[in-house]
Amino acid sequence: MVIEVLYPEVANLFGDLANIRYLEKILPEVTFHYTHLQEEPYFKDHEVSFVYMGPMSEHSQELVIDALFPYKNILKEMIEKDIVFLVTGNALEIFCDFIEEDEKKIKGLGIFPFYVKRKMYERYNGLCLGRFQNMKIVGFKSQFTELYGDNEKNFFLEVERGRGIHATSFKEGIAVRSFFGTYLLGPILILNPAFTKYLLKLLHKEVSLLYEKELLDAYDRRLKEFQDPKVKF
Amino acid sequence: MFRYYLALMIGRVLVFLLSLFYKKGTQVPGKVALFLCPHFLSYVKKPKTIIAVTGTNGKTTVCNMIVDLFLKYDFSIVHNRNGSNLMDGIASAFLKASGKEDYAVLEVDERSFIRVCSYLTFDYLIVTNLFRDSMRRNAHPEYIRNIIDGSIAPSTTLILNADDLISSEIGDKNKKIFFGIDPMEKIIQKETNLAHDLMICPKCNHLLIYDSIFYHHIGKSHCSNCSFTSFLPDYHVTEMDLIDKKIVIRNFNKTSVYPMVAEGLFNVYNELAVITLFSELKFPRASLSKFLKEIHITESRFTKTEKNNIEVITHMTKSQNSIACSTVFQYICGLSTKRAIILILDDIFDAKKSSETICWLYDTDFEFLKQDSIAQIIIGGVRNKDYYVRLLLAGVEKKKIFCVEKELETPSVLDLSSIEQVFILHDPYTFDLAKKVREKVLERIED
Repeated sequence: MVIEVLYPEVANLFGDLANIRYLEKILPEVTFHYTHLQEEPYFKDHEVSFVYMGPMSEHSQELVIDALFPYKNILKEMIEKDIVFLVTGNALEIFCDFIEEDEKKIKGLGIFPFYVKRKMYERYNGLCLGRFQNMKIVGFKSQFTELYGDNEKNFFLEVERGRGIHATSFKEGIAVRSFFGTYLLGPILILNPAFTKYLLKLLHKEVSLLYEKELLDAYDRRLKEFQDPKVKF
Repeated sequence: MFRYYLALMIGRVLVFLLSLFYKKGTQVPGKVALFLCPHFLSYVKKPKTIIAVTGTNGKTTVCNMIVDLFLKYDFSIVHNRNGSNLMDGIASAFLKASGKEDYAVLEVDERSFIRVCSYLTFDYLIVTNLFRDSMRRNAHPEYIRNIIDGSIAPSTTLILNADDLISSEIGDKNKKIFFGIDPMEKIIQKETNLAHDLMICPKCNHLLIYDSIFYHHIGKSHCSNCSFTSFLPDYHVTEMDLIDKKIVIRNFNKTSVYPMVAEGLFNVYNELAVITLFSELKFPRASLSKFLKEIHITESRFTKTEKNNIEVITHMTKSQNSIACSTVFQYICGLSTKRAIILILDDIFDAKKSSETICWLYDTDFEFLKQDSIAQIIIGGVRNKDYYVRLLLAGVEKKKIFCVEKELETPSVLDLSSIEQVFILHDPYTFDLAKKVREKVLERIED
């Protein structure tokens, strides 16, 4: 089994690569392939079970779009074939139609019919509590952008507290088959052990989590805080 | 101009009244002055030379050193070291001034740069370094670099860290003076840090090759594809004597020896930035060296107390800033004493009425704390369970980690047997708490 990590040299903000480091610890038999900007993606000619990409700077988004553009059809096919994707923060925006900032319009991969409005002078910071299947997911958001499009049928989280893909949305992220794109940042697999188990199940890996009890203790405390009406989102 | 004079008058009255209550550091007068006259900083009388310091880490230390040195030279200065580094704090600094000062020394918050630069033109700007910082406030280093780059006046002389390819790229049209440290065996890092903010060439986007890394992306590098390479420093440390606490600095063909003000590579960079500035201002080496020997890092950043042969050290680090924490962890990791570490790093501002963001913990090298000589790590505060998980994932043994809910409870679980040093690592805003913890640790030692 191969897990491909796309462009870790730029897509590495906000502690997100801890998700991969954690998977490396619990899946020692799996090959982790790190693809860099000047290289062809490993998925082009090889079977890959899981693709991961984390958040990056706005300039890096353009580099990544350029790097992935020739392979957008392969990416579409992979999504159709139920290959697992976890794409966090503004990496999700790369898969959309375009990113708009003032007069500038950056063409995305166009895999999902969504577009992005970016305002570099308006940073949104907030917490997010949402439901995915029967799981409560907790996380943090910090972004200059909002995502627009209809995700009523293919959202990742039903938001209970916080915001969805834009200020008035209660549907967070995009989930299509086994593709999970979310604005939640940081070590979301460490913060949400149940979701990690779910992802591993999709990969046919039913392993116990490393430090599962401790992860759950921290998760329970955060969930309690996030459910506390006094906690500001 | 009426609004300006009104703001000046009311602001100065507030400065006087607050000084009666020993409120030196407040930014209230500046806040009021800016409310009454938003362009206050345009009109206020400024010294002939304005020096500004910004950057992710080290700006307060650098500013304090510059202020201390000017005071040693008997210059009068405008400075904001007792207040904030935002607009209000800078306006307050000018309200306290007489208008006859020789220099202004201003610490400027990176995010406030655009606003401050629209009113003040700096003669010299020191940028200590640029790293990832608080996710909420600073987004990412490229964002901050673009803010600074887009705000500086072309007339400003930039004093930049040649070993930091993010900040050294600032100011294409400006005069630039670079400082740096030569690669030396004792500072070249063998292992890489988790966070690395510049892995691709700023010119052609190919991977950079680091010939030597000192910490994170600080070091010497060149592009794997084009001719891009680290800048050559004008002032560079060629030798660091950790025993006699001396540094040797070369500027072209001239070599000078200076005392090392404080230990730690990051502190050498801070001192080097200061020496570069004073050398450019043509201050003689002999007096500079003499005065550097007499200055110290501010107490709120580092204190050391000894009792019954156990050293109790408070060391400031910045919550939400993975680089600052990693640098302190690395410094502690380099010691050989038997140590206990108390972590009181919860960020009271990030957590205010909310739940603190913990993403930064996973960019922070807690792995440095996995050491035989570290006997105990005690975590105090509401986020202790998150720190516990992080330390376990860093490979620290369970039996060494202790968690308590309240920071003041941390000394109660301290095991002092065979301990030579106790480190209390705290956030800038929790120094008072750290002092209380220190007192309790000292009581435990006394018992």
